[in-house]
Order: sequence, then structure tokens, then C-alpha cells
Amino acid sequence: MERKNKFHVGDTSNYMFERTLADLVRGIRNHKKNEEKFINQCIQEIKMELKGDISKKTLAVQKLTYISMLGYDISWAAFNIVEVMSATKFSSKRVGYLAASQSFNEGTEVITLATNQIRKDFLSNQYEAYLALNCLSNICTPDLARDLANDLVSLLSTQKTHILKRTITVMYKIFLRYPDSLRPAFPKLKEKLEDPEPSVVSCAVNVICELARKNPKNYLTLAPVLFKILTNSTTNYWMFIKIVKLFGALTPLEPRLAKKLVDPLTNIINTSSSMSLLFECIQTCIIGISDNIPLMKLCISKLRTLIEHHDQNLKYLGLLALSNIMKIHPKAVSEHRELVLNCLDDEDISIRTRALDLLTGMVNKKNIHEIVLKLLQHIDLAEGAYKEKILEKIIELCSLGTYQYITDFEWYINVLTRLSEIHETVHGKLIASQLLDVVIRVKVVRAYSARAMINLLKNPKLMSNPKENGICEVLYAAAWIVGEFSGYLNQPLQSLEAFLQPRVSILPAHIQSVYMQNILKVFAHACASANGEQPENLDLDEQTSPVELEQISTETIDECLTVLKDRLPLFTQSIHIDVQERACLVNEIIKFYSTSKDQGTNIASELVGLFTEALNPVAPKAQKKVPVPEGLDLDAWINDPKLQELEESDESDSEIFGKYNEESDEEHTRQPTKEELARQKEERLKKQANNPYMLGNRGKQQQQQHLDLGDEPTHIPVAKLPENMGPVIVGGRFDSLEKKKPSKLKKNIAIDTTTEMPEGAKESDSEDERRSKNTKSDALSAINLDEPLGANEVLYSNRHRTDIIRDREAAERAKAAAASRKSSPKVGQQSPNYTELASPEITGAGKTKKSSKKGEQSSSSKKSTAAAPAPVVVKKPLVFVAVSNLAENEFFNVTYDLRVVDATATPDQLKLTMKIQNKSDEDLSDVKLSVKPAENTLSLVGGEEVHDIGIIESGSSTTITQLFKSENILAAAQNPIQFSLSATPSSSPDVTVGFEVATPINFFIVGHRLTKDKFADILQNSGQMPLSSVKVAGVTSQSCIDGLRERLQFEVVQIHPSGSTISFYAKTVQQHHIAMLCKDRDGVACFDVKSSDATLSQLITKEIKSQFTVSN
Amino acid sequence: MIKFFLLANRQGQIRLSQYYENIPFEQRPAIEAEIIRKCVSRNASQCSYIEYHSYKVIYRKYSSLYFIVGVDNSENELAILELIHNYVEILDTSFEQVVYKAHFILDEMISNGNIVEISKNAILDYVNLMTLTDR
Repeated sequence: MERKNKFHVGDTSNYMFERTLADLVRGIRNHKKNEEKFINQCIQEIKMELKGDISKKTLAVQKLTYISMLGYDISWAAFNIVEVMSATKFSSKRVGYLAASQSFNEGTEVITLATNQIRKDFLSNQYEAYLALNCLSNICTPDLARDLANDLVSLLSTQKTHILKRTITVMYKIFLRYPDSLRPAFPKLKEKLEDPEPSVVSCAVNVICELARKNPKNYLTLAPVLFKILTNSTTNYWMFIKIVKLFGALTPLEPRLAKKLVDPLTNIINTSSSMSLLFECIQTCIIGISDNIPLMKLCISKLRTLIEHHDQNLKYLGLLALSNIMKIHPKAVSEHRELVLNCLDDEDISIRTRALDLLTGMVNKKNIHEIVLKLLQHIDLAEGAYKEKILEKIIELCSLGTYQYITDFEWYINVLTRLSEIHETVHGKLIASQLLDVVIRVKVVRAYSARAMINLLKNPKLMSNPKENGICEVLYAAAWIVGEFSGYLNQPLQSLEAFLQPRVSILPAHIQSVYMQNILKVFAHACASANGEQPENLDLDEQTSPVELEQISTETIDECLTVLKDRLPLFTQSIHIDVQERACLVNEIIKFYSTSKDQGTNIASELVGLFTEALNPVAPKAQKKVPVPEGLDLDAWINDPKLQELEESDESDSEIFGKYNEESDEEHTRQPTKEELARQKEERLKKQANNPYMLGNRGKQQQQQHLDLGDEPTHIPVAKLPENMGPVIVGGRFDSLEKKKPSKLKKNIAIDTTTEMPEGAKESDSEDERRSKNTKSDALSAINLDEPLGANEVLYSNRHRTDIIRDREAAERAKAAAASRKSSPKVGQQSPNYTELASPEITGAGKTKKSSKKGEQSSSSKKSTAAAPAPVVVKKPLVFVAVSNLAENEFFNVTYDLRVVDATATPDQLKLTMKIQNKSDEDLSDVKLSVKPAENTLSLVGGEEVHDIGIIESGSSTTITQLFKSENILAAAQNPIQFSLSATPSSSPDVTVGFEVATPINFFIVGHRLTKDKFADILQNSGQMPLSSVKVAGVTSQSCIDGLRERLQFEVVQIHPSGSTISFYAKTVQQHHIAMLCKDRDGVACFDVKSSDATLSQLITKEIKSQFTVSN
Repeated sequence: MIKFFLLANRQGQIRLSQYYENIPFEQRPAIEAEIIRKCVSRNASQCSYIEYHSYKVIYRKYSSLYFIVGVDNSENELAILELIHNYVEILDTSFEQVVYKAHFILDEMISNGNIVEISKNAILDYVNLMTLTDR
């Protein structure tokens, strides 16, 4: 900023009026009151400045960066930022890049404009490369990732640690945005794990650690290398932590690795002074080595010291890790109950929350009262989200394993009643559903809860300030319970009065609806009772209600009728349509009841008959599990859509519905058979056994379940309640909660854990499986690194249009030149750094076809650039293309194509395709073609020396194919194949044409990729190799590499860093080694060829010479 | 992975923000304000972690400045605390021109959400070098 100031002062005229960044910051501080106005004014100034020269723009962008930090939108300046990024001056460039990394995102369109700038800066000096890399990591889009992946991989070879580190970490972003790059780039990344520079290793570990979280399987093979890094002492704890974390991801997949890790990890846990490393080791042990009991014990004891530590941060993490252990070894953790309970009193809410999480593993039948009591105390003091959390926790603890720890359900109803006194909660629905669930599942508690609920209904607090999901939701459950079990309650008048309080009308509509419905239930039961009938759903033989059920007098019924007639009109005019409808229905039924009663008929039993069907809980998945009946195809049209229009007869419709009803009725009334019940039970047990929150060891647990759940879900032994239960305390507070000690008698309370399932539901949780299969994992984790790289898996390389055109032209030229055995080299490749890009695996596929067609090569070539869309003939070779003219006279035009049959399977076989065209006006008969390879060069494979073609009509053509196998390649390269073609034209004398097809040496060379060590070995062991040299002027190293690869299949072994010396290697099909050194001496390339045979060397130098001199 | 790094004062004004994950710009001020508010409301007796949506937020207070780091679930909280301390020490040694340099030092230490360099000397060397090349 000071620098800017100087610049600002030193400059003349215009600059005097512009604010520097420091001015801006000062200005913002001075305009505290109207900051926004000031900034908007500044933005206007900046817009003006952006029209100026680059130094003005830089200043403007610098200010914009600051403004964007304050939360102002600067996306409109994206283009200017790119401009500043492209500045030549480093200080401007730096400002531009910082602005870009702060303000660009995936949606910034101008990013594509920056692609080339970024690429250029990669290759520039290390400071610019540094800026570009840093910025790229922030703004990387899929397009950028694809376009720059190749350049980044090249950068991985840099010697500059500073750049290398950044490149490695940016690679991760590239993988994320462009997952296809992972496989080609990974070998290079892997090497970096063994870099001598520790900070480079650290970066590689970081990236691999992130990758391993996506798909750890891919990185198992790295274990030995990582293990080495782990056991070597290093002072970089951050890297240590990442390695340990990485092992955490790997160990679950490889038990042997876990065994190997026990010692080093135990060592670190015992000796490390770094708490962070200690903690990470513990985490890894929990994930991967949890079955090693001594190690786990060590971890837990260490965690205990963390939790007891006065540093809150350690305490928090200790609890966090402990809850992870709890998921695996619940018993081991429950020993530390006291410690965890103490943490509930901590002043830090985060720590309390963690302790709360741990409670799940701490409860059992004995201590649940104590723990819940403690939580209830806390809930009074707590506020906001923490209060809700405690509430959730209480309910979670109590409902664990379908209430397996609850011995006294009246106590639990009291707890729930108590919870409904909390006003500012969003868990009204949760409490309501618990109430309903408990009452439905536990029959013994019905009478008690009905009485508790009527008190809730009368509680005015619940109705104050009613809102959706608020505490008033509890009334929903309360109303239903009071209505459904009014038989236990026997207080119809009180109930109806509670239902019809005027303030009920301010409750949410769905609650009012339930109120209306249950008015009718209460009334129906009252009438039935007054009539002397016993309500059917009252299991009075199985339990003794503490309150004697007295018969309701007819006077009570009359009073009820009065109450109803007085108060119902309020609801029949309700603004909620559902409430209104139900209220009207109730009103009509009551009227009907009164009139029929006046006429002397009592319809009480009919009324109560409406509600006798028992309601059972339905399993959450029941709907999905309804099996499709045999023969029903859900996807098939019931009626063909076209036919339907034609035959719209009522008859068919009624038939459909008629059938449907019959079936559903049948289903409804069918009772589950014994087998089905047994199966359901088994299913349930299985589910519970798999429940990670289930405590105790598995075997025991199963026994326990047998005890708890009874033998058959339908015949649950319902415990008799003691007759002398004493006074009932409804809605009791602490005193009542504390007093109740679980008595042994109550231990066998039956909990109805059955849920209704459709007939024939499938046993397996197939929909869960399906869902897990369907969850689409992201592309990066789907990549498998173990498969060898395919030939087409190369990084995309962006090339300039002119390069592509040039390549295309070169390809065409080469095609033409193939005939005359003279070709033009491909020039002007953009990426100079490709040598080590591909992994060794590629060589298998990399034996490129010895074809004269360049397009074909590119598909399997190793070079990254070849994957570019440039070569135009890639897919064509299958079609016969007459490549070159061979012989022509007034009758014939002969063209041919010569290629290697199959570069991998039969590299020594050549295929010649020849097209003979009759271009004269006369038909040719008796056409014969004789093929004569020179002695001891090539032999014919199939076919005869003389091909009898017969007649070729005027203007038509015929094609002949002949395979050759090489005998002596050196001789073959020197001696062409002789052909002679004879024919008898219809009106002219016989014609005979002789011609030859050369088979130059490049048809017999196989590309072979070697490491430099092997290359040196070959040179040493092959003894004296004849040398042949040739000098060609005007060949660049790149054109030389390209030309030799394409024409002669030579592979680069090594490029000298200066780029002036390149070594090549290739083999012949008869296993001669060919080594070549290309030296660039001031524009004159000198090729030294060494091979096992002097002739071979000469042939190759000749070939090279002909190739490069033509092109120049 | 580290997701973001914030530097703010007690008044809730952002002094530095660096994101390593693409959070839409419109949301950033709101997120920042909420996180800072949460940090400021906590006292010394409370632990330095906050859970914020899917992030773990780890902060540390030095005089009136809050150093706030948002990480994903896989990160080691203690290591991040140590990292913040390391950063502060380096800031201390080069306390002229903090505003701008803070960014470059941070860039030296964290790249793409990963910790890349911890040696104080190495970091300062490079930052100084970069400043030199500026001139």
C-alpha cells in the first residue's frame, strides 16, 4: 500500500484524483454511518478507473478485492480481473490473481478466457507459476480442470519444491472437477510419496488421504510406502496426522494392515507429546483396529485423561472419540458413566451436547430413572437448541429398543406429561407420537394415561399461543387417548367439557378435527355404558383398573347432551372445513340419537359399534411391502388407452370396482397364520440384532428378547398390576417421579412390539438394499486405480486450431508420401514435455501399428496430444482407400495399400491390398497378376504367385489382397516385391505391365518403450554395435521426436533436460536392437544409429535422411 | 480438508477471508456473520469448536482478533488449533503490511484446503521473496 502511495504521488495529473487502497480503507473507517453510500461512490470511481491503463486497472482491482471482502458483489468486473491477470508486470499479475481467487466461481464465464494465461504462467518463472497454481485451486471449473490437467501433470516433474507442493495439492481439485484425469495422473502422484523433500511427501499424503476417503480400496497398494513414512521419524505432525488418518481409511479393508499398525500406533499413543497426533491415533484405532482389546483399553484410558483434562478442547474431543467407541464397544464405555454424567454439568454447551450423545450407551434398566431425572433437571435450566436436544435425548433413551429399559410405564407417561410443560419446543409432535405409541403398545398403561391426558386437555397453558408443531400437538395425542380409551376413564361429562372448551377453536385445524371425532367416541361409550353394555376393546379380564368402573347413569347422558347442544354450534361454524364437517356430523348424530331416544329406540350399541375396531400400530414400511399379487402386472395398462375411448361402458367399470372391493375385504378380515407370525417375529429379532444401539452382547440380548417379547406377539402375557397401587398421581412433578421405584412385579410388563404388516411381505429389507444401490456415488470414488491404464486414457490436451490444421495437413501429406516412401514429418506440437506422462502399463497396447496411416497410430499412441481430435482419418482404415498410384497406362490404373496386419499378434506379416482399375473403353479379359518377392525376402501367406483375375469390364475395378511374411527383413527392405500384370483387351493386342512395391525398413520396426536403465544395459551387453550417422539441417527436437515415432516407431528413452539430446530405442520384428542418439547442434540434427547389424543401421539412417530432407 | 479461513475482529468485521470450497458469494456474508457471532458469544471457559451446518468451525482468539477455520468432518481439531497458532506466530514476525501479507502467508501454508508448509522460516523466506520481486 505504501508502494502504491509513492507511485500515486510520483505520477502526474490524473493519478492525483484516485484513491489508493489505503485511502479506501481509511475512507470506509471515516464513513461509519453511511458506509454503503461511500462504497457505492468508490465503485463508481473504480468503474472509471477500469477504463484506464493497466496500472490504473491494477489499482482498481486491488480496491475491488477489498470491497468484495466486505460482501459487495464485484462479479461485473470479472473481465477486468482477467485483464490484470494477464499483465506483464508481476505486481499487477499478483493483484489480478488474488482478485480472481477471491471473486471467481464456477459460474464466472470469463474463466475460460484465463485458461491460456494460466497455462502460460505455469511455464513462466516460478513466482508466476505459483500465482497461477494458487488461483487455480480456488477457481477450478470442470473445463479448466480438463484443459489444464495435462499441463499440471507436466509440472509434477518440476524440480522446484515450492511449485511442486502446490501442484500436488491442486491436482486434488483437478481430480474432483475432472475425475477422468485421476487414472492417467495417479502414477506420477504416487512417485511423490517417495520424494526426498518431506514437505512434498506431506502434500502427496494430504491429497491421497482425501482421495482415500472417496474410495480407499484404490490406495491399499500404497500401504508399504505409507508405512515407511509413518515409521520414519518426522517432525511434521500435520503430515503424521494425515498418514494416520489415511491408515484409518485403509485398515477396515485390510485386516493384516491393522495387525501391522498395532505396534507403531501403541508406541505413538504412549510416547507422543502431541495431543493432536495422540487423538488422531485413537481415532484410527477406533475405526480400524477396534477388535484389539488391549489397544482399545489403552485408547479409552487415554481418552479418560483427555476428558478429565482442564482444557475444554481436549475434554470435548475426548467425549467425541468416546462416543465413537461406544458404537463398537458399548460395554467398555458404560464403565465411565460417572465421568460422562459429570460432563453434563459442564458450563460449555458443546461439551454437554457431546456428553448427551454418550448417554445412549450409558442407560440400562437400573439407571434410566436416575439419568432421565437428571436430564429433566437440566431441561429447566437449558435454553434454545440445547433444550430441544435434551428433550430428544430423553425420548430416545426411553424408547430405545422399543422401550426395553422402561420398567414402569406410568413413570414414563409422567415424564412425557412433564415434557409437555415445556412451552417453547418444536417437538410437540414427537411427544405426541410417543404418547400414542406407548398407549397403544402397552395396554396396562391405558387407563392411567387416559386420566393423565384429560388433565392435559384441561391445562390452559397448552392452548396458549398455539402453533403448528408447537407443544399444542400434545393435545392431539391427548384427545385421541381420552376418546379411544374413554371406557377406562368413565368421565364422559368432564371429557366432553374439556373437548368443547371455547378456546379449543383457536387450536390448529387438525387438532380440532381429532377433538370432534373423539367427542363422538366419548359419547358413544357413555351411551353404551349407560345402556349396561361392556365396551369391547376394554380388556378388563386381563387387568384390573384401579378405579371401579361404575355404570353411567342416564342423567349423565342427558347432561352430556346438553353440553353438546350448547357448545357444538361454535364448531359447526368453524372456518376450517374439516372441523366444520366433523362437527356437523357429530351434531347430526346427536340429534338423531335424541330423536330416536324420544321415540323409544336406543341406538347406543350401534353408535359404539362405530368404534370397536382395535387400532394397531402399522409398521413404517408396511405400505411398501404390500406384495404384488400373482398375475398382476403393475406396469401393464388396465385398459388399453385407445380402446378405453371406444368402449366406455359402465358395465366394465362396475365390474372392476366390484372385484376390487371383494378382494380388499377378504384381505382385511384374514387373520395371520401361525407361520406368518413366526416369520414376523424372526424378522423382528433380526432387525433388533442388527441395531447398533442395542446394548449388551448379542447372545444374551436374544434370550432377553424372548423373555420380554413373549412367545407369540398376539398372546402377550400381560402383567397383572398390583391391586393396591395407591393414589394415582396425574401429571406429577419430581416428587412423584422420584417416589416411584421400579418394583419387581412390574418387570414383565408387556410391550406390544408387533406392527401390522401386509400379508406376504418380503422378509428382507429389500427396499433398503435397493436404495443403497441407487445412491449414486460421485464419479471420483467410482474410479478404480488397480486396472491398468487403457490406451485411450490420456489427458486431454488443448491445442491451437492452427496446430490441428497443420496436423491434418501433415497426415494427408504423409498418406500421399507413403507411396513414394517419402513422408513429411508432423511439426509444431505444443506440449514439449510428454515423455514420462504415460505409465509403463501402456506399453502393452502401445506397440503401434506399423501403418502408413497416421490416424491409426494416434488412437493407441502414448502421447497425450494424440488424443486431440485433430487426426481426421482415425476411423477410416477399415475401408479400403487406394493410397498411392502404382502403375498407370492407357488401360490400367493400379493403386495399393501396404500395412502391418496386426502390430501385436503378427508384427511380421504385411498385408498388401491392390486395386486394379480398367480405365480404358474396352473390357479386359484374362487379367493375371503375378507376385514375385525377391529371393529370401518375403514369403507369400496363402494365395498363389499368380492371381487369375479374369475379366475386368470397362470402367470397373477389382481388388486383390495378399499377405506376406517376412523371412529376412534386411533383404526385404532393400529389394522390392515385383509384380507383373497382363491382360487381353477386347480389341487391342495383349498388354503387360511390370511394377514393384518397396517394403522399406520401417515396416519391420516395432516401437518398444524402455527405461533408461534397461537401455543402458542393452548398450553395454550388446558389445560392439555398428554405428551409422547422418546429419540433417533444420530439424527441431520436437519434430524429430514426432517424425521418428510416426514413421519409424522409435520411442523416446530419455530427453536431456536441455532438450538438445534425445535418445531413442526400437526393435525390429526379428529382435534386432536399434538405439539412436539425436543431437541438436545449432539447428543441425545429428542422428547416431547403433544396431546389431551394420546394414540395418545404414538403412535406418537412409530412412531418416529421406524423411527429414523431404520435409525441409 | 480445510474449507475456509476467516479473520475477524470483535465487532464482527471480516479482516481476511479465504475459501477453499465454492460457497456462493451471496451466502458468504451471512455465514461469516453467523459464525463470528457464535464465536464472539463464547467465553474462554468454553471449547473452541462450533458445529455449523456440515462444518466444524475451530477458532482461536488472539487479543481482539478471531482466527476462524472451517473444516469438514475428517479434520483433526487439535491440529487446526496448532495451525492457527503457527500462522499467528508468523504474522507476528512480519507485522508490517499485515492486511496484504496475511493472504500470502496463508497461501504459503494452506493450498487447496491442505496444509502444505509449516516451517516458519521457509514461509517467511518465500513471502519476503515475493515482496522483493514486487519491487
